[in-house]
Amino acid sequence: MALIYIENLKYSYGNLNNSLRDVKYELNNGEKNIVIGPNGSGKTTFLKCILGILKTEKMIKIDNNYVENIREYTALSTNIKDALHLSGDLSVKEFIKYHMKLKLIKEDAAFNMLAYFKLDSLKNKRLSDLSTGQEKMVYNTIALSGDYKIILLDEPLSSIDPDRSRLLINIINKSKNSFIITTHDLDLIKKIEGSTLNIMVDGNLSEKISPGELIFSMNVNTTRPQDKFIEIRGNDRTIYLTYGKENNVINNIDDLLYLYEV
Amino acid sequence: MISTLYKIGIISYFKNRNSLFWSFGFVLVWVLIYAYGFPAPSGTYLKYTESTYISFILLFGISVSMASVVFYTVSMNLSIPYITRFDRVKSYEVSFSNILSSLTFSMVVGIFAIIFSLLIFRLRFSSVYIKNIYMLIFILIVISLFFTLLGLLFSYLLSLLNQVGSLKFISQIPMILTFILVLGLQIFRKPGPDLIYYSPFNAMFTIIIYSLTGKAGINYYHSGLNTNLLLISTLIWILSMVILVYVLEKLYETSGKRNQYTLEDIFK
Repeated sequence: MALIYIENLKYSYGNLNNSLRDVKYELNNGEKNIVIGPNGSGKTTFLKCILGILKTEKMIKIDNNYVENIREYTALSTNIKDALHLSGDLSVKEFIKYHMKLKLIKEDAAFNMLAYFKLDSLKNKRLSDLSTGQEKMVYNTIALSGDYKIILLDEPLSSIDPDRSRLLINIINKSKNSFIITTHDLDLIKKIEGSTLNIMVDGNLSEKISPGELIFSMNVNTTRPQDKFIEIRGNDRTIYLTYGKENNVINNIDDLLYLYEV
Repeated sequence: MISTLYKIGIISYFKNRNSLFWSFGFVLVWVLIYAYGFPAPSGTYLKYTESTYISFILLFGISVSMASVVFYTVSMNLSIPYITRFDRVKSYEVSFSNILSSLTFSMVVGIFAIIFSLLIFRLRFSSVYIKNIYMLIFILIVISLFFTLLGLLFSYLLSLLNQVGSLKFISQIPMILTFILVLGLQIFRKPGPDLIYYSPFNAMFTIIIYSLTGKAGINYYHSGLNTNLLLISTLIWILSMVILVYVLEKLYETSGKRNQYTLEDIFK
């Protein structure tokens, strides 16, 4: 049974067109799933719907319960700021302490994680006085400090320096938990071991593939090929990712720009 | 979890620089202006004038501090769906602790307003008048509860309507209403005395003056307002707001379009 099961998820903001269109998705036990896509494609909206911040009805199940009915399910954590916000005037120490208390988890794990990320010096600083990257790392610390079944990470490496990025990736790789990680970073796809990949464009989520299938031997084109590999629908066009005859390799973000221009 | 959430609220209010400036700073400045910026009233007018000043400061000070309540509640509304699903928090614990922490904050502002103004006025005018200390304490609790509920009302409305862009203006409405209604009656004698029974702002203002001077009236020359009716009117307003806040909170929980804003939208 899937840990997270989503069927026909639709969401729109106000009078705008659908931000999420008929999303079907499953996250299995122990799976590390990465969702990549351009800005505004709906990645964060997708995570916020799973967390219940944005209201959905009978579309998302976590551990076989609809998200709107879930209460006190402490086996899930996240680094999303809107979910974790208590007050910008709390110190880092207070912020971590209170979050651990709300989950009834010992705070030592979180402070050990903070030390692992070499962020001990931030303990007495106010959250609102931190830099973007420091704040992100505090939220990452809270997300990763505990024996959770499911961890949702939204752009965990954005604004993070290379040293701490490496430490973060180590933690994720050693963890046996299930992850959903949204990112723009192609390097992350290569470094998270054993991960699966979904591509989100204009609120459409592709089927699941492995990072190797994306990165190696791939062409990107807009005409339907004979050997279709994966189809990604955007607003005005559809993109097909196929194995290239000449083994083109998608090795950097520029190769995916075509995708991002949808 | 109520005590944990309560502590978070208390820390937020008392560590927030804007919150401290606009509540305690506001009281400090206006006490000094009243005491040293205007000529000292003489003789028979002194007792009433001083009481009117204290009443202004108490009511305005707490109404200004409600801006902090609105900001805090609107930002917390974003995290409520998460912490009530994935932490060990129940939604009534969030509401209750929020009301408690807001109430504590506004009462501390009110106590500071009373003590500081009595101290400065005693130094300046060599007089201190409190006719009925129990009534004063009671009305302080009532005022704090009234403005806490008003702040929560605006918070849920803004969150429901996704109008956080109006937050900076909406959060000032309690203060604006207090200024217009209370000052309007004092300076222009309009609207007339009957409004006092319908307007909770004017009713609370009059009860403060009554607790300080023993007279319930629009000004020194006017008296004879029924303090029991004033209290009943204020309590009816508070009860109505409790019901309205409860309804809005339930609407917020079930609304399909809630939380279509981010923390950046609130604090930009």
